[in-house]
Amino acid sequence: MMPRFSQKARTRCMHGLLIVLCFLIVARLIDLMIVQRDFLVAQSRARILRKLPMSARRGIIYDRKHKALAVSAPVKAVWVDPTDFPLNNKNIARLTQPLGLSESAIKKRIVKHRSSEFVYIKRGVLAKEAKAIQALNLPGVYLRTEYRRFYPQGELFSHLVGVTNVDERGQEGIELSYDTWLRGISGKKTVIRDRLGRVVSNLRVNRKPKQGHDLQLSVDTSIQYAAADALKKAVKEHDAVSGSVVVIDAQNGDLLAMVNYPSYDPNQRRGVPMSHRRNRAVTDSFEPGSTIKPFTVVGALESGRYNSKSVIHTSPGWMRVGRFTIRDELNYGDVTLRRLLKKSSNIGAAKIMLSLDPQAYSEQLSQFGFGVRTQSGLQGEVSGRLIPHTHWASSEVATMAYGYGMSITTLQLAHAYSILASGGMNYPVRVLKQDKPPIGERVIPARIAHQVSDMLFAVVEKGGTGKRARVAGYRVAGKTGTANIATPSGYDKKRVISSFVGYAPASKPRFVVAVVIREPHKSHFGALVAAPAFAKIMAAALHSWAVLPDSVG
Amino acid sequence: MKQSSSHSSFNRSFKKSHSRKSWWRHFLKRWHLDPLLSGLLLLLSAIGCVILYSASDMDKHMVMHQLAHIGLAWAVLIAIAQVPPQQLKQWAPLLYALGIILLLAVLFVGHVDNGARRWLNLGGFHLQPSELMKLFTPMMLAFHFDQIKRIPSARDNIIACILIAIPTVLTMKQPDLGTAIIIASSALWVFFLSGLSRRTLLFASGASIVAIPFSWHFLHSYQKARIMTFLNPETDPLGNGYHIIQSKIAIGSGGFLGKGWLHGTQSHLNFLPEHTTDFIFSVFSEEWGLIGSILLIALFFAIFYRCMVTAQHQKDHFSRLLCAALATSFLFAALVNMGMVTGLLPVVGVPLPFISYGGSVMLSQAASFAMIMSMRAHKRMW
Repeated sequence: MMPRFSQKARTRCMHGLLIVLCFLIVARLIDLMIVQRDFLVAQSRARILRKLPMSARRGIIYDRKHKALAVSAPVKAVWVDPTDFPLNNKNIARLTQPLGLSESAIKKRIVKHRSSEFVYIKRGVLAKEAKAIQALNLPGVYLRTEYRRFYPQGELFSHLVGVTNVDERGQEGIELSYDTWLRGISGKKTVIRDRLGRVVSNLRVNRKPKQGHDLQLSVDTSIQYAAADALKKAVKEHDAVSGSVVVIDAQNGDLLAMVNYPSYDPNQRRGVPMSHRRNRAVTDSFEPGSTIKPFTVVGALESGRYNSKSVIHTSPGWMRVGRFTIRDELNYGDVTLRRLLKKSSNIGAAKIMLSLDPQAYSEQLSQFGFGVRTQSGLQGEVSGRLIPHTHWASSEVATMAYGYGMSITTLQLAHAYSILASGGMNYPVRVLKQDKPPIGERVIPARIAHQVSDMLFAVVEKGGTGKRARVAGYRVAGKTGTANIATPSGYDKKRVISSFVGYAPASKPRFVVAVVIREPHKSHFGALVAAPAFAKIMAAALHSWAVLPDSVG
Repeated sequence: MKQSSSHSSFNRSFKKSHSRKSWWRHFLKRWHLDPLLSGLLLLLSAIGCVILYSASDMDKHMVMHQLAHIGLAWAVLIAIAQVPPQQLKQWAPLLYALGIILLLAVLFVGHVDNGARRWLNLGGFHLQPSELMKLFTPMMLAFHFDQIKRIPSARDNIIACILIAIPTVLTMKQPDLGTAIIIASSALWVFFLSGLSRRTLLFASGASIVAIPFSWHFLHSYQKARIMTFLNPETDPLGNGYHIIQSKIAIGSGGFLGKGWLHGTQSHLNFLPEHTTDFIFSVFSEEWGLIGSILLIALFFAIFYRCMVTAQHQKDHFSRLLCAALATSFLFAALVNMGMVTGLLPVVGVPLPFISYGGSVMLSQAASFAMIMSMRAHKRMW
């Protein structure tokens, strides 16, 4: 038999055992608190600290009078961490009501991204709905402050200003052209979060967000509004497909208005067809027709072979050039340059053209900005088409005299007329409001510009094709245009583009307005379709800027 | 000052000491309370309340509740301390039988809470019979070995094993592994001290090691999961492993000096589970660091040691066995809890005595210290 354990020895043994246990615990504590400390502290940080992006506000876009055209308002984005979110129908059902989304839509999103830790459920959520979401207190559902772009003027500036995407990155228009200027640089902050992901406190800002810069455009909201209003009415009245208006300040090239119809509301752009989103004033080129004739006349005067008294024979109202037959509306007989423009004689223009040096004329059209993009910097702008003179056939030369065989944009048209209006100075188109005076470049002598202006004034006079463009109290210079639309099988006699472009007051031109109406169905002539809209817009602009009248009666 | 003649012995000592000792010493003596042990227990309870305030994220309501538990526990302690150990010895078999009946009752009509049947609802009062068995089982064992008055034979040891097994198995059935372990261990201490031969001891430890794989089949799936998690917490970091990983992070990030009271992050940010009950030591460690933790362990040990001194002075076999077993059981529970939250032991649900929030455990612990105090106070009388 083994020796019996004494009571004392047993007690001592028990003491010993418990002391060993105590030291085991202490050793473990030293292991955790000293040896493994750095690792465990890092683990603790990884659980509680989060670096969150701090959204930077995007710059505001203003018009020239400091009216806001695009602003960014703080909203909330609702996002889910699928690894924390218990995916069951009850939880999803609770999200549907405040978010206005269907159960299946939410479920689909979460299931699709269930392996990631971040999925947006809805963005641009307003404060009230965000509060309701927060009150649900669902695990794995988080809110994040971000900004959403709002366009207070609605569809008025949709094409010019453009839009941003949900990440506030510019997608179209000015928003895209000046994206790097407008957009801020988002910051980063470190926060302490609890187990449910709620931010308990902000620890520090790692990088301050840099707000985007504001941008002031040269456009004038009141003129823009008048242009949009008149254009919409004209398009509807004449059952046209589309239309564009551009208004330019003749004295410095500032773009004052640019509208297109059809348009859309950038605040609600879901389901808007792409055709409504095009800034047709710069993206769509067309054959200008008669609005080009003043530049033919400029060429005639510059060549020195014509003067204001020169007479051109247009009888009998038609002529053949190569395989083309050129016709006037009526037989105008012998016409001066002034009468040529007033009656818009195709034969007169063609005859001048055939007598000019093709190279000089081609260069001159380029100088007026045709065939090259303006300096607007607008998205999607096209250059139009101007065939180099070396490729000109005589029949083409003749048709170019009255605006066929070339294509231009509405903005190019307005800009070209602004050179006539400013007395021969080319002021590049400016989209941003600038305080420094414009740098102009002389294109033609002031004398010739004034002569042509005087002739264009006649167009709007009694008996001229543009008499519907008259504005009471002001001398208006302008020109109508009606051009058939070219198709692969030749010109379509039924489809036309009607236009009117002009400026006022003729004595000291301020505004250049170009109105282009595509495919009107009730009447064709620019004089009938575009001129009344022009008059409305011009009157509104003159009155809005309180330009002194220069005409009595 | 008039006292009834039946209390003459008290009267004498009371009068004698009145002149040189302060009034509270007389009070403690009058009510058979050990001044040093009472002081240590009060200190531990006070520390418990301070930790609970932080662990509950400054929930005053919860701390008030815990104070109520402490008040009730002391009332029970004072009451039981008046019962002489002889009385306790006489009642031991009866109490044990009553406890077993209650445990059986729990199994059939118990109140289900969190998937476990642990409570008996006695007209608004929740009774947890397994808590009672923490006391009654070692009492019964002590009684058993006291009665045989000889070197225990194999038959005596087998009877003792059965006496331990019945409440342990019934408690495991609830299921409540943590309490079952404490019940078994508290009785095993009696077994150990009662004079097992060295050979039997070696055989028993060998047998229990062999029995571990077999006992696996008797465990509930969640208990198995806990043990698997203990062996490798990283396999399931979001499920069962989550608790222990969070707990280790909390303790480790406390460092040498701790983050300071109310400055722990893991508990305040809700990362730590059960931070007012089983895992309250993690909260304490994070805020008070290694220094605070060692001092707390020292306090637990001091209480244990004080009780062991009392045990050594007991002349009666029953008292000596029971006193040592209860004291050891107290410290053992504390160490198991700490081992659990530091990842040394599986998470089996053993609260930290006097610190973890809860009434039942507080009452059973108070009762065990009451018995110890009674033994100390009454030792001179028999």
